[in-house]
Amino acid sequence: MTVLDNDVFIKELGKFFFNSRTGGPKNVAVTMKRYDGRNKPKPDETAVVEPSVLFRAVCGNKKISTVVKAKEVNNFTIIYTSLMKESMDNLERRVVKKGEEEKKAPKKQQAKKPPAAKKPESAKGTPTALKK
Amino acid sequence: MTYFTVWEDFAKAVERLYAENPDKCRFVTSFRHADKSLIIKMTDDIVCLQYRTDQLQDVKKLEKLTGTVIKKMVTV
Repeated sequence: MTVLDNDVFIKELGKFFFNSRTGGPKNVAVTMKRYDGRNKPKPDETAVVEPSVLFRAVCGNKKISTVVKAKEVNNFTIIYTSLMKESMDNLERRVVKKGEEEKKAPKKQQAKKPPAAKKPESAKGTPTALKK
Repeated sequence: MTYFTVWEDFAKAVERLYAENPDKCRFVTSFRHADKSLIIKMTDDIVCLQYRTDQLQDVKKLEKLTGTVIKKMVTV
């Protein structure tokens, strides 16, 4: 398993998603796990390590991984989630039930009515004011 | 372990499990484009929580949950 930079990891993950929809291995799995820099069972307890998140991704027999440090987490989350959105675009859209449609429709009408109702009032109001 | 059917229950269970055992928990999202299936799993090797969906709206919820889980993983 290769540990990659965050940017490279995202690029490779994009390739995974792309390959999986164009006839490659079907499954793309991404694992997130807390990671504090230890990779041995008995670590040096005096060592202070920055908390970070370990990302692994598997597609077929290809495996990649990256370590995201606390500082870079916010940025990485945004990029990662947007990649997910792009890649998982073939899922089913929500079917709007008939009952929900009916409920939504009157709300729109109500929202439109008040300004429409006000206009005639003001329109009526001004001419009468002018007449007086 | 069976799949959760309600997202809200799943999200709550995930956060609870992580709070119990932060060092051992891992959070896996696996996506199969061909089958239109998205499976999300959280496990600490003792308890395993899973959620499966084919709905686009769940991707948004997943984004939110991913964000909260990552934040928790970073804060000690």
